[in-house]
Amino acid sequence: MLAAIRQFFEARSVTEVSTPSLSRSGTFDAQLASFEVSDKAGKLFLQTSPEYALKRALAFYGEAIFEITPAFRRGDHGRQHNPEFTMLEWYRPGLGLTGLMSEVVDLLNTLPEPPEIWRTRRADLPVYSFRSVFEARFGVNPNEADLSSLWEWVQETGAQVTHLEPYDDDQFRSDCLDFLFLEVLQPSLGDIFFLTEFPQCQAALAEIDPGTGAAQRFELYWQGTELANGYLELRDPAAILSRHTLMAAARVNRGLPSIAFDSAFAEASALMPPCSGVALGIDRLVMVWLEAKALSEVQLFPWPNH
Amino acid sequence: MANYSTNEFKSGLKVLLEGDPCSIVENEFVKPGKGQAFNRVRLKNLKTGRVWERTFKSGESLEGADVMEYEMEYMYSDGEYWHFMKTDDSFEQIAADKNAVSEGIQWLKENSRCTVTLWNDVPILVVAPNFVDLDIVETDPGLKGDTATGGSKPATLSTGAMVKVPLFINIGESIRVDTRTGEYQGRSKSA
Repeated sequence: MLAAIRQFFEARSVTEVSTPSLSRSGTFDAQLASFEVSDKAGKLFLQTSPEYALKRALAFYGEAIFEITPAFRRGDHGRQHNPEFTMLEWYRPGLGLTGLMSEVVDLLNTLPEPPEIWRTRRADLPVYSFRSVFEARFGVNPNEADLSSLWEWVQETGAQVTHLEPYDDDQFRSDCLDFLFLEVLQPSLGDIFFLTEFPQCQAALAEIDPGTGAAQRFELYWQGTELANGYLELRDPAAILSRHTLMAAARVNRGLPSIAFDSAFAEASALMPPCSGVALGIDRLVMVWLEAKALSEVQLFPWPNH
Repeated sequence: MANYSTNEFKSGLKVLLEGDPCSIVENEFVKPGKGQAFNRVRLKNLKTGRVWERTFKSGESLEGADVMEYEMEYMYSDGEYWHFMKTDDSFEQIAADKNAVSEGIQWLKENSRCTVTLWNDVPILVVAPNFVDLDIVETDPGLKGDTATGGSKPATLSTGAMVKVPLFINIGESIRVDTRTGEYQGRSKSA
């Protein structure tokens, strides 16, 4: 699998790079928790993805790059989660989101021994807009729905929801939207599809379309598993700072540790060429490719008893 | 009792939730890429038998419940309590009240082997065997020869339970009933 991926990128002149897994600054996403270690100079974080480092590399090289690297996310393990996993991430200067989605499909098409489900679906993968799917079901743009309605709809899904507490912030909006998507919208969208036009509160580091107000982000869903996550990359340091500020407030509201602003990363973003980038979970890819039901079935060292 | 965190929730684990003992039926860890992690858990309330779905914040914990299940033989009722005896040769007896026996009452026949759930050594639930053989004590007269058509009629069993039986079944016959659905299964094999 890894050899086929490397061949694919070599044929397309995408350069493999290697970036540090340990960093002085962690991700500012409120719902991603980093493993922390320390040395004499202070705290270090194991990367939750190579995004910050790769963007700095891209600012330096200015050409298409990819990396296959371990990533670490603190939290429970489960059927499709392992605190340590392998991520493939690549950046494409000059390519838009549609072009990048096609490239994801091209990559999967070069992998050996595709499962039956991929052979039957790949020619015609549906692309759904989060905004449209949400509007069709709830009658309102997810950017504009008020928090109390979202919270009510969450309560009406049938499960007794105790993992969320109402906060007056964008993270709460995002968490409600996530839950509604999972419980209400996703089940009717089929087994393999792309999702685009994310709500603004889920823009992360993606550009926002000034016309529609939607985040220019896509995800590839495969039987309920998020397999890949791509952005039209945000390059404006001021916008990155304001998103950091929103996340910092969400962290304060939830009593989560604060994360210092990574100005080296933000400044490097401005030096990147206009580009799109995508991350793909290799462990999950192997899982769905082998039609396994859980990561532990395809891992030699499944968490936590390795 | 020990506390169990969401990562230790697995099918069959007995925990306390809102003061009631529950058995975990299913637990799935869910983590949207950039979203709040949670566990989607299905639990069975052992007092009421009801199953419900609930989400927990990942890492949240619940107190374990001291719940044991025993196979026990039903002996008799004194009107207030229903008496059972363990089948492990200990001859240990327990008395279950009406709440614990609840809907199982109508299927309890002497010597039948039931599953009795004890919480802190007190019986909270009695489940009758899936199939019981019981005698018909009351039903309309049977129709001779009518063994093929699908008609049915009500019948009262020796325990007081009411079931629908085919037209050809008569008073005094023993029939087999599925206690989970209350449906007639056929004439008893031993009869």
